[in-house]
Amino acid sequence: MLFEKIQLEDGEQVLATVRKHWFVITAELFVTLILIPLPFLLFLLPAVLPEQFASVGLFIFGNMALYVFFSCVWVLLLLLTSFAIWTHYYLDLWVVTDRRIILVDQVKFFNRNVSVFRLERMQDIEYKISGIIPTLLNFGTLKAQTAGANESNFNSTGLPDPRGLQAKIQQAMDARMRALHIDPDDVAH
Amino acid sequence: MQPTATNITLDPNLLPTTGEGMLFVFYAIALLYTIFTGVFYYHWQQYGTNKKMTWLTYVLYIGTTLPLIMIMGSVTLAF
Repeated sequence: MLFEKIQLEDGEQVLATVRKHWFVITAELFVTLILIPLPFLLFLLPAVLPEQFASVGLFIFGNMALYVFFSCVWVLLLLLTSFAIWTHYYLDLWVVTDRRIILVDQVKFFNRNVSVFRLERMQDIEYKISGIIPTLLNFGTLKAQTAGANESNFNSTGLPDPRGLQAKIQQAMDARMRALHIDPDDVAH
Repeated sequence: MQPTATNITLDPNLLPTTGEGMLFVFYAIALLYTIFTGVFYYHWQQYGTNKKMTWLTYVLYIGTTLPLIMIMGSVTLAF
C-alpha cells in the first residue's frame, strides 16, 4: 500500500488525505456509463419504431449471436475505460502532514508524478472557486508557491473545500514554523 | 509502355468465416483484457491507500467484466 512506501519521518503525522471532488469523477464517468446501454437501446429500437427501423430489427434477429458478441465487446471496453478513470481518480491524492505536503498525480497508468513540498518552504497559498457548479458544490483550485533556490509552484484543480484545505495547510505551516523557532510573521513579510 | 491489367480473384474458401473472425476478435479482446487486468492489479496493489476500497474495486471489476468475457467465449465457441 502507498502509505508504507511514502515513509513518514519520525513523529510525522498525517493531517489530511484529499482526493478530487466527487463531481469530478461523476462527470468523467458519466460519458462512458451513459454509452453502456446503447446496444440494448438499439435492440429495442425496432419495437418502438417498427416501420423506419424494420431493417435494423431484421439484421439483429438474423445475427443474434453476432449482436450479443459485439454488445459484450462494447460494454467491456466501456467498463475498462470506466475502471481506468476510477483508478486515475482514486490514486490521485494529496497527503498533508505536519511537515510536508505530498502530491501524487496519477496522470495515466504509466505516468505518475509524486512531489513533496516542505511546509517551512511554502509561501503564498491561494484558492480559486470559479463557476456555478464549483461554487454550489464547493470545489476549486489550490495554488501554492514554494521558496528556494529554484522556485516551484503547484496547482491542483477540483479539490473539495479548498478554503478549508488552505486554512488547514496554513495552520500546519505556522505550527511547523513555531516548531523550528521561526516567527511565521517574519516569513510572511 | 502501357500498364497491363491483372485480374485478381479471391478464393472464397480462403476468406475467414464469421466464426473465425469472431474467434480472432475474441482472442484479441481476451489479450487486451489480460494485459489491462495485470496493469490494473499492479497499480491498485502498489498505490492503493485503503485495503477495503482496493478489494471492493477488485470485486466490482471481476464481477462486471469476467461474465462478459465468459459470454463472449461461449458465443464464440457456439458459433
